[in-house]
Amino acid sequence: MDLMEVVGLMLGARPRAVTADYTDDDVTGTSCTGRIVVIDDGKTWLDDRDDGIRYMSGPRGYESKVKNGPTERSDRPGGWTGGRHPGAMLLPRRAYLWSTSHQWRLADPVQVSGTTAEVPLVSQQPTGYTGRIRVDLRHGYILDFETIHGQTTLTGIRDGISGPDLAVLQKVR
Amino acid sequence: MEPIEVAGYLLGQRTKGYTAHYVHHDERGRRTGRIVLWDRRTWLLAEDDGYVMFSGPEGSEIRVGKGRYQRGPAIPLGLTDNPAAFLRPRHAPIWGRPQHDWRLAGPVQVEGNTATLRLVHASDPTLEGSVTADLEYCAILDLQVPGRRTTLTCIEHTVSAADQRLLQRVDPGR
Repeated sequence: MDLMEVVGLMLGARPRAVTADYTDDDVTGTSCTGRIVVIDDGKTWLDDRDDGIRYMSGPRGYESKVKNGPTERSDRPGGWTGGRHPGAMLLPRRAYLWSTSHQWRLADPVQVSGTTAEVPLVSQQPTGYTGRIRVDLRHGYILDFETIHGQTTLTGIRDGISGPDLAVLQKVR
Repeated sequence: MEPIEVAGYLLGQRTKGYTAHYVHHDERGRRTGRIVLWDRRTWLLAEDDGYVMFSGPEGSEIRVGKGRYQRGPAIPLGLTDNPAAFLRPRHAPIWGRPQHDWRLAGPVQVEGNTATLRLVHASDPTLEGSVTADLEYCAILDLQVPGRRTTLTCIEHTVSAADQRLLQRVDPGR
């Protein structure tokens, strides 16, 4: 499969509403699991971590909440940060993979296995480092994102959003 | 240079406030005009024969007579055949996304600050075209597919006061 075909699938992912579980392991030794919800073509999202930390953002603002701690709120939407944010994995056109100013870019060769493709990553600044992503060829999602900084994996990707999650997101939607 | 590296220049373009002039050839003949990109949602297309169309977050307007414009909903920059997308190539229909007819393919020919790639049709790989990218402006300079070709003849990092007045009608927040 040609790399630019995979690029087209990734840039074309436009989930109306999608929910996934994720695991993130950072080389600093921290790790977390949680649930990511993306609706309205990425304009509204919820990152609900199993350690009690919750982030959400939408046209009406951004909110972060720590378990048993204060809720911080901004009237402006918040963006995704980090190269392997699980929200950007469901909306890869927003991942930090496309510009010459981003640290990582896709590279050949693409290895297809069933409905997924593994694509190497190479670092642009500094050069010399490698990583990889695994892409769902049916939807364009990044299922697995691994670099020298860590690894994030999505599991249990399902279309739609639960009623409770939708209710929570009304605060920022 | 690989196609994905050229894509890095085109997909990463974020600059606003460009004006460019273009030449377009298709079965209807030769047309010239100018395009303006104020930002990703606010743009203008003005053909030298008097046709004017501009769009922003608050809607769009199309010139229907001298000094008369018809108002409508916002028009996406990525509309097929909209040369304004040359200035924000992320929205040009060349990425092989499900709604795109074309995707980039190698080999890449680099000449100075430009890179030329093949375009391959999404559903009929025997159909080919070409795209030339300006690696300094991170814009599309030339796009050629069977039956039509559009070329930018100059790019300026400015928007005239007259064009700004038009664009403010559909983007009043500016």
